[in-house]
Amino acid sequence: MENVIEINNLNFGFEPQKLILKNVNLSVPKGSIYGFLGANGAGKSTTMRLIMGLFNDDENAVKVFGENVSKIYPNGLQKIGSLIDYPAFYEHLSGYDNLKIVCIIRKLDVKRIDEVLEQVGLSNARNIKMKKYSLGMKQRLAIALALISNPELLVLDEPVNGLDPNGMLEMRELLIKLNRENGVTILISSHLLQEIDKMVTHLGIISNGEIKFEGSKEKLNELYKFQKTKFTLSNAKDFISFVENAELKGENEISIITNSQEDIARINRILVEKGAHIYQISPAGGLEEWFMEITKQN
Amino acid sequence: MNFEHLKKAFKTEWLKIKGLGLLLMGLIFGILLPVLGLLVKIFKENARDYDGVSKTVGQFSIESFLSSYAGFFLIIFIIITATRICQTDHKNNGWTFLETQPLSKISIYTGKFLAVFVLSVISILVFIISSVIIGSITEIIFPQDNLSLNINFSWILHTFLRLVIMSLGVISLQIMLSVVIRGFVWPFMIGFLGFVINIVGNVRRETYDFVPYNNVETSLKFPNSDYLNSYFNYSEMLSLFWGIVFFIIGYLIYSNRGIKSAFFKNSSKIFKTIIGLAVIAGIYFWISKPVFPQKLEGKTIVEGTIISDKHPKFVTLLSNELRDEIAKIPVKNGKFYWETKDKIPFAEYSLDIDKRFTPLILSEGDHIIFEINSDKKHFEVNQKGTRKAEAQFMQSQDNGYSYFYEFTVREKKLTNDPKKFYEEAQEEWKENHQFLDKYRTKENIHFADDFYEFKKQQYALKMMNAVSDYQRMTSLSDKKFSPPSDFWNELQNIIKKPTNLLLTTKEYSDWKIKSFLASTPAKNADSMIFVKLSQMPKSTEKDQLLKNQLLKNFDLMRDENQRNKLFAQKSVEFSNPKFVSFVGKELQIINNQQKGKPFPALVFEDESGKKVSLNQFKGKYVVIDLWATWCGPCKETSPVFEYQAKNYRYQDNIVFLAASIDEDKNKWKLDIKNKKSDVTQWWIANSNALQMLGVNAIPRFIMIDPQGKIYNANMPRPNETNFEEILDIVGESKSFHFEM
Repeated sequence: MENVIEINNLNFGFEPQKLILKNVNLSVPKGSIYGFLGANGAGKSTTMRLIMGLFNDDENAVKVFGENVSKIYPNGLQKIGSLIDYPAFYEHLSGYDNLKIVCIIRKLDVKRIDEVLEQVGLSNARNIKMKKYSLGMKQRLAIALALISNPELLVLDEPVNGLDPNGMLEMRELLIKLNRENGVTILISSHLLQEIDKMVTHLGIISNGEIKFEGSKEKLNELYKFQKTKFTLSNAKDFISFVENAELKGENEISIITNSQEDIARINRILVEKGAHIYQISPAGGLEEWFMEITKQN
Repeated sequence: MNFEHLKKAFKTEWLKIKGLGLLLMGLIFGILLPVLGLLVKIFKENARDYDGVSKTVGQFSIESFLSSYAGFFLIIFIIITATRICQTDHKNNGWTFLETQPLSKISIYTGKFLAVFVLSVISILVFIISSVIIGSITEIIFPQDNLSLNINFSWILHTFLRLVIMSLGVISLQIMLSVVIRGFVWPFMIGFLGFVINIVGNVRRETYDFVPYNNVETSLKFPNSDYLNSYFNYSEMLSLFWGIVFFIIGYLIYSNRGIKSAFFKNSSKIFKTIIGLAVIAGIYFWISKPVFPQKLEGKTIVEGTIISDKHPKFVTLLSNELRDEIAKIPVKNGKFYWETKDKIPFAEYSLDIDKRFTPLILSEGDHIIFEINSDKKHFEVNQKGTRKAEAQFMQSQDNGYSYFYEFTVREKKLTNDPKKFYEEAQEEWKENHQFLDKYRTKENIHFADDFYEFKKQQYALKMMNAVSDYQRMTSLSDKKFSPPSDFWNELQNIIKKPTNLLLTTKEYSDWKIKSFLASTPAKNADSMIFVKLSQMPKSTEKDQLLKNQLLKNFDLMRDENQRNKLFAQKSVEFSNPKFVSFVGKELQIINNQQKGKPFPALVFEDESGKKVSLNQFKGKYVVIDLWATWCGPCKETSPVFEYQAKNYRYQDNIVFLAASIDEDKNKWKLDIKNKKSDVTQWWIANSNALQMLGVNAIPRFIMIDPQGKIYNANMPRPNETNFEEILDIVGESKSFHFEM
């Protein structure tokens, strides 16, 4: 099967008039690291909950491992590790015991507990009760809980929340390693663009319950492949006609697609010759802006 | 349901309770009461005494603490456990964690239920085992007569199973509440409400079968499992039923994530919900439907077992009315069995076990099973079978205070307000009626039809007598003082076909006599009654009325000759010779108690065992207090007797004697060690001799004159003013004493 997760035409809401997800289509290919992006409240968590069977998928729009979620769970969950919403654990138990619970449920060898604690860097804290863990430690244990059963699919909702830059780096490297060496498919959501950008192979962007973009990184690059340069000048609207691929961004601002540095110099010359007073030239565009633009509507 | 999942879920829950202290709490709750019991016995000497029939220590120990443990500690434990186990998942996203594991929802829910269940069972086991062990240790340190170190395994197992089943309702309900409600406050509040309902139920003497907490309370009314007619009481079945119902409801709400989506989401669900409610209601009404004991066809059986130090060879079944023997049943190996196809009329009977009596309502078709345990000091009867409600009713004399009868009627109030009088009368009648309709034991057993009819008729007659007295007092002719016609008609209808048992009651005699005297002035009453009775055709009814009237007159007549003459005159009017001999015997006893008659020859012994006799008190009046160590009311009257003895100690011609009819002389000796010295303490060796005075209940007070003859065969109790009046009359030195 090609897509580990396949969502077709998903409409979901708790009340029929107020839909949270509108006509969502999403495909997570096997062996990919799929980044799921969106602002807070856009519908990421809800989608992930539907994938994990935590909400009822009455229309059978969600398929995991090729089957409807209502059919393959709970046994199908054996192949999936997850972290949804915020780390889940039992605070009166130690990190070791929390992991032991997963071992009992998934019939794993208890040797795995120490292995996975090593992987997330919590070997020192194995016997400390979880209520004494810092936020970062809790986050790492949550990831350990998801990893311990060597799942084929990881569904992670904001897994690097609360980690310092070092922690984030380690996490990123761990996930990439799992993906490359073990072929684990990873669905990861975040609102931290830089982080996601560094590790994903595919991307899905959701805003107000609608998918704004869905596809591989290459496809994304194509979309904003043209660099943009921002020219700050007075009476911008008077000069926009002289340049191609230009967009009026404000009273004093034009954004122009440029392919190279020579392009920037050329455009600059044209504008100046036409009598424009140019105050500033700066690079624009990139994933972040494009992302903010795409999610700004509505 | 996948049992693999369930095993995993349960192991998970069991790991999760580590560090919550629940196992320890269960252990402590279980062992707490037995330990406290031992500590109390160590520090308080009189707490160690066991005053009851022979029993194993384990059973005694468990029975002592069962209500407190199961009615309070166990329920609190269940509430706390259920809440804690669910709170670990309500906090920190635990439900999401569990639901993203390969575990089915039913196994998650059942895993939690099982965890609470197993913890409760462990606590119950600890309670039972520690009761037996600590009880045995107590018995070794402070041995008691009648307690043995044997272990009654079948009884213990029975009690253990009952405890487990009776707690299922509360366990399911609390799990449901704790799973569905996020906070811990509401499950606690509802559990607390359960306790409140139980207290209210106890005060109002009501049972609420639809409340699982109350089912526990009902079950605990039988700490001795042997008392039940069947292995499990109906309240335990109800608990099991609620256990299943709340489990299903709780699971449905959980797996559908809400009450609305579980039951009301679409028309198919609503339909299923309605069907489900109907099924639940049906089963509930089936389990809680009133139990009317099944009668046998064409035969009657009275059987039982006897544990007794005296090993009686027979038990005798007597009719109460005439004390005649219906059957003499042989006892073999502690068992007796009697079956008859004869018609047994519905009446009050007694079972005589070696001069100890237990009352019994009986009629054809009944099957009564007795378990009797008797020794010198105790007489414990457990009556099972078809007449349990009647037995319970007769034993509990306390049927509530009746304002109408105790105050309005007795004090002859409201003679100028007939409207209010009849309002109160009808209110009282309604209450009586409701009481009879609602009456049931804690096994849900109701009266048999014949007893219900009888009681209703008896209440009706009591009311009719009161109304008739009222009219006699106010006016028989003035319509204003007549009862409302529908009320009166209702009462009359009820007594239209009186049951035979009704004819033996005082209420019936009173009523019939009143109807004879319809328009006769009071002073001719007695002679008129006899005239009317003579005119009646020979019948059982006439015999009963005649008997009652004769006995009533005998009591009032002072002259023995007159009494004998009246008896000789009227004895020919009886149709049943049994009545004649009965009245004759009663007459003899009354005659025996005549002032001046000889006092029966009693053989006395004093404290040192020396034979003594009343002759040593010739020339003095002797006031005798007949008592025994096992007599409850004597414990109240004896101190007053001693007080009076002290009061009259300067009257040299009055002697105060306390004479015990205990069979066990040694028990008597131990008991009198702390008695005051103004009272002489003797023991009677041949108490049977007292029967000729009709002494069949103690305490009994008798006064002998200086010649050793009877002065007063039935003195008032020492706390009544008449008692002192009699003493003042005979006292030599007419001293004036103060009323305290």
